[in-house]
Amino acid sequence: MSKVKSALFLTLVSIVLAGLCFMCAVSFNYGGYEGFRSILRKTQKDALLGNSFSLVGKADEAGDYTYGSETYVGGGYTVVYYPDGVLSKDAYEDELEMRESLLEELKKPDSKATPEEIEDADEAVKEYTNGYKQSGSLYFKIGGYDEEDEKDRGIASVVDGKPVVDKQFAEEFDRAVAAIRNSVRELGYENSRVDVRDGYSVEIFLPNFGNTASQAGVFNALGRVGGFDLKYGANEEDAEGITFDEDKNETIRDYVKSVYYVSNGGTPSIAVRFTKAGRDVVKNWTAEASGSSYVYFYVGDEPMIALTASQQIDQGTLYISGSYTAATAKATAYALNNALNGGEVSFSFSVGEVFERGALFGDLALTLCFVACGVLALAFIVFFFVRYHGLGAAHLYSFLIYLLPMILLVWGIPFLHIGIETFLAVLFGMLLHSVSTMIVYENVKKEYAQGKTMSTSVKNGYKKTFWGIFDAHIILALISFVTYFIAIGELATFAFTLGLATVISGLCTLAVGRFHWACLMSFAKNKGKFCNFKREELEDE
Amino acid sequence: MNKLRSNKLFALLVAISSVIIVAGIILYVLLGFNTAKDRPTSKFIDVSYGTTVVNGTVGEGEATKDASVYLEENVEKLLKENGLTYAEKTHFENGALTSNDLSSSGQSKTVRYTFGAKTANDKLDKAIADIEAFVEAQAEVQGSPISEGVESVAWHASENLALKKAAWRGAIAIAVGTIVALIYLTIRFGVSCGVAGLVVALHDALFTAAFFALTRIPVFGFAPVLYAAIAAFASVAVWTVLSIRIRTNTKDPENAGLAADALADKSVDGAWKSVALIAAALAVIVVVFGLVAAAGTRALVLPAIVGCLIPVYSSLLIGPKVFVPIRKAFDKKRASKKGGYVRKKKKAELEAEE
Repeated sequence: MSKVKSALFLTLVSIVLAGLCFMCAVSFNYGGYEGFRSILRKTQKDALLGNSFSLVGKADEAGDYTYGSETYVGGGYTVVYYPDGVLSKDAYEDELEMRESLLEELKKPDSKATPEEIEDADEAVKEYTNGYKQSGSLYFKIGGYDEEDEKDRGIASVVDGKPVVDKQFAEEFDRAVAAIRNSVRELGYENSRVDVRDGYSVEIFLPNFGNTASQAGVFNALGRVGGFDLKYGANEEDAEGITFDEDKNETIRDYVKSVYYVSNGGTPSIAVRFTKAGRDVVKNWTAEASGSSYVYFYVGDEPMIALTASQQIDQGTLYISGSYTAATAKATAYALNNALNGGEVSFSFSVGEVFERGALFGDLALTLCFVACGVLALAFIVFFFVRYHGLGAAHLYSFLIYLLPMILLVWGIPFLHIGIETFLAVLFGMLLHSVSTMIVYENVKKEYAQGKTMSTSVKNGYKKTFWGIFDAHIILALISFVTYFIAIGELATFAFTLGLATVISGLCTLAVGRFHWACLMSFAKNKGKFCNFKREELEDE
Repeated sequence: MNKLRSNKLFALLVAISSVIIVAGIILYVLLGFNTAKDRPTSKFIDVSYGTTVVNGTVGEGEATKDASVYLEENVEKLLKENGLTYAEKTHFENGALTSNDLSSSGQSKTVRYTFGAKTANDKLDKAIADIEAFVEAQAEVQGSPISEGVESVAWHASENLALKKAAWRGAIAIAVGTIVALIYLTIRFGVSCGVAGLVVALHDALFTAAFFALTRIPVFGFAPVLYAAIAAFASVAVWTVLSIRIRTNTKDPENAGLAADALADKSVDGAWKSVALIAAALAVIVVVFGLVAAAGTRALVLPAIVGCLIPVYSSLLIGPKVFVPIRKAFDKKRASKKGGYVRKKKKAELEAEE
């Protein structure tokens, strides 16, 4: 390649790489909250990492800032759920304080309350204090579990002054928790967890999605437990369900086979699979549908889906889409399916405390990961400059051409994010690239040492090593991508990122690196010295 | 090197590996991995406070402190006085969940002190009572927002429900991925290299997982599968290096007629430096990354070194010994085919002569 062409090419590549480096790594503000955020900053982080909160937005005419959606910070949300009949210490004390302050207000001399009203308020306080019994940080409603009023019934009885939870409630609670655990497991978010708190409340942690509306939908769906039911009517009050044939011991499962998530041409949907009997029931219900009636899919006492029936529905599998995101559609489908297949749960959960937290590994975790990566990358680069002098520049170019697309891919591919496993995969890819490059350089060095010209040495060196490097990359890419397709969670992320890293490393080593070598060679007067290659010294006989 | 190639040593290594893998599987079935890093059970104290504490200060002049800092310092002092040492301190922003949004106030916070599961309840009760008394006493301190701002103080016991689906999916993924990759290896380098590679990769993945089950090193729940995958991937990579060397040696006319075991020995001699270098480089990456990174990252990354180093042992000491009998069998088969061909050719020649 001529000097001019090489100079032109290297200048262009350098400009592009510098631009990409700038885009990937540099963030700055220009007045107020407006600013430019680097690709690395904008890339999603997993719950373990994440960076400190930073607002990015644009001021409107009124001077108010609307914030962009790129303010993803990692970490996640924790929501605590309490079943009917169980109260947190705060909720109990708040309610009691409210009742007591009402009683005090009524008892004040200037109050116009009647004695009956004072007596009622006093009764309300007593009823509350007697109606609940504390155990640890929870308050349990005392009373028989099998009373008719499901919402207001007790769930525990007092034995030796302490609340003992009813056996039936305990069994139902275990079933409800198992259903929640199934749903969270099926959702498959990395670092998500389900904890049972104080025996009878549930704490769910999900990583930050970067979309609070979607995340709220998922948390609300996860807290829905109870029996599955199918109803039809103009509104919830008038809606009627299926009449089960008691002689045949029919249940809802004789009408609905399963509920699952499906992506219909990219639209997140919930698929409801009916049995023949179920299909007939819905078909008959909606025979004269005109858009003013609904098919309700209940979990517990409240419908999870209200599907407008604008025409007769006659489908074995009904696909329901709407304002769902993939996450909310999955969570709703799992909650419905768990309700369909799970045992009887006759209570519902209400939401208690909600917490947001930053990176689980601490605020500095992400920065330190970048520092560690930087140190290792620098070590690779310096090693090549020390061992191969000017040829280190060719390695630097191909190294950057490996690294920058990797950053862009992790940012651009929706299911990838920055996590420890991503760092490891990118680092392993970095190693693969550098080792492969070194193998090539060493082979060329050997050829050159035997007295061949540089161009012949390069040609022979690449020829000798091509298939070995090619095979190693193909094999690693294969194992990575196959693992990705089967695994879930952190392993899937690691495998996919490593697969990408392998492919890019292969291209950089076998194509890009060689091209840059050729470009750089055109500037070298003494090619051997430039590459720190030496001829073998032949002894005179 | 020759001592390392003896059949006795190989038998010993196979026995050691088998014992470790079988014992690891049994222990995993009985106890699972030691997932202490996930805090499967714990107790914690939550102290929640609102705007007045978040934005308020305590004290005057140079002694002025942020109210939240002052509160936390005193809470920690009281915990210490009650003989409680927390394992982790976490800050949360309190939020709210509505039907269509999840928001955090930014002004109301919770600090969580996490303790071991065996922490005595009466100690926690006493600590809570002391903290509440401290908060109440702050009402008497002029200008202190703490009494008004602290919303709740409570302790809780927590039990994590493991989400195990990822583990078995991961195990199947590694197995299938390895098999597919080694089918390619078989096509390119021959059945003997493919089968030996499969044995080595699966050995490394199982050995790594068994190592964590046996040693009870505390890990994050998802980590052992990741470590096993790293072992399998590294194993396939180094075995490929050995396979390339075996192929090169096979093609070399100098080695024509070399027996399978001699070929394997020669290949190991030629490749062991490369194999050790790759593994060492992998280990250096893991160690440097682990040492520079934050404590949590370190705990997750450093154990991966096992997965990086195991392949050296298996690829150099076990793989070649598995390779040899398979290669011998194929050589024998090839020879008999060749022999058959030669016999047929000779027979035809004899018939022609007659």
